[in-house]
Amino acid sequence: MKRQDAVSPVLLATAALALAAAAARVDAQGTFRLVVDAVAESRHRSASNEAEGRLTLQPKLEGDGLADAKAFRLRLATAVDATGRDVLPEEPEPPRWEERPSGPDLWIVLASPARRAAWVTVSGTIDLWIPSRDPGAEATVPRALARPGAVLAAPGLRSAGLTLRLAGRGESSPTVVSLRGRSADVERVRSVRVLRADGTELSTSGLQVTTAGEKGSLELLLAEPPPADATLVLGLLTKRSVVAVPFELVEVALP
Amino acid sequence: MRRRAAGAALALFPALLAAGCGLPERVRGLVARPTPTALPRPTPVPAPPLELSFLGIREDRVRGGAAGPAGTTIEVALVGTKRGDVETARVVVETAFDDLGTSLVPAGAEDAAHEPPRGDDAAAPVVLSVPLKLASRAASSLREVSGSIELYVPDADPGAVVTVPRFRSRAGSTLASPSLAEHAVAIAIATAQEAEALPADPDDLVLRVADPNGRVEGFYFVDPEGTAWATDREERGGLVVVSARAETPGPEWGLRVRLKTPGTLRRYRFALKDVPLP
Repeated sequence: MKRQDAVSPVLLATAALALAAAAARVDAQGTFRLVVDAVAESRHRSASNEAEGRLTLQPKLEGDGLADAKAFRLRLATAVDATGRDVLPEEPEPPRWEERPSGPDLWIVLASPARRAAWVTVSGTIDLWIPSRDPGAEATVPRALARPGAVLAAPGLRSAGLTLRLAGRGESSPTVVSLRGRSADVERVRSVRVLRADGTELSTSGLQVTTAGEKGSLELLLAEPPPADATLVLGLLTKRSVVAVPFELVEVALP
Repeated sequence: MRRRAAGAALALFPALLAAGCGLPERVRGLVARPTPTALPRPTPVPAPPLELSFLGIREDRVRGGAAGPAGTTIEVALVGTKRGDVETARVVVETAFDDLGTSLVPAGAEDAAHEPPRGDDAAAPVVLSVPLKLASRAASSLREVSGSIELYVPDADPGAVVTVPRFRSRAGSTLASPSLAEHAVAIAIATAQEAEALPADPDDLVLRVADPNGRVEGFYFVDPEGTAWATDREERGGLVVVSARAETPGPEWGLRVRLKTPGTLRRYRFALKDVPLP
């Protein structure tokens, strides 16, 4: 745990020329920028004169202030084009966490701006998951796989208020660690690691998170069956580990 | 040679019928094969009229490296055509202006390549894309877009398709066909030594092709059931290497050569006016 400083939500918005960027401080030492380095817009008009389209800003986060961040998310609040048209989608996709500071899960998907609009301005919040800011953001569960079907017992999970159950025998493949729980609890788990008794980590090929209504599941895909005495280490979204920084991308030029 | 064989078979035909015996399959095939003719065919240009139906217009506007290609595409359907009849098509845009007077003819428009129309429904009309440069955001409509559409309809001309059975056994020989000769196309199957010297994969077919007028549309491998499979071709060392895209052709497979003859190419003029931009 390197930094426990309060986050300064100061935002420095810059006018967009070739690129649009919003800059912010994540703490007293580091800064970062949200840079839009690609914009894609599709517009379609049918024979019956029905128009549709969408605008996608493809931003990336950069700066030394991101060194300890392990996941990133953008939440939109407002989006307007140069004519004043609201271009927030009517049914926006729920914001997703992205493990890299760029990538499709950070793309800002908007409704179609007016044809004569020259730019859009977008505001919202950047969420950074910085587990090193909170000891409670990591829960260790020794011998977690010893009791299939049982609720995972660990002080870290109790203090975070999470209830997760290990899938029962036959409910998943031998190379999959499957956890079940309420959707709200499942969505707070950002990472899962499996450690052998000697502390070495098993190789994984992905973590699949599925939620349907109230219920959810986490499936950690392993390269080999885990030992029965394996320890699970869960990375959790907690209030102190998630840093929310407002952003505004001002006058992002349209292509 | 084929004419002589057919003539001999025709001479045998009455005798076989008189004998009341079943016609052997090989002989029946020779009898059924039409006698090649060198008569000139009427050009299909002007082609039968078609109705052009506007389906929509799409703009893809991008900035930045990873955002993909940009451009405008008008989609039109050719009412009166069937997708199954048209092997490939191309659209040549000659004139395109928006309401600001800006030309939107894309670079290299006159060299547009023949491409298979999209879609798998053989009975559906052919749908083509008319590619244009992006109009300014300040433009609101396309004043005029015009040019030509060329359809390649191989079945419209029986002489445009030449099929050679069991081509694997014909290394070193020249493909004999009046259609090839008529269109100044000469094709010979390379010898095994030539293919090895290239070098070429033993599964590939190596051809020596002379086609000064660019009549050859493509080479197809024909399986024993008669299905023609598209191939890839590459010019190498003055020869043409033909490779299977799927199954490697065996000794029973044939080779089909498709030609772009005047009878297979249908050209149409098109014009669209006052198309609102999206």
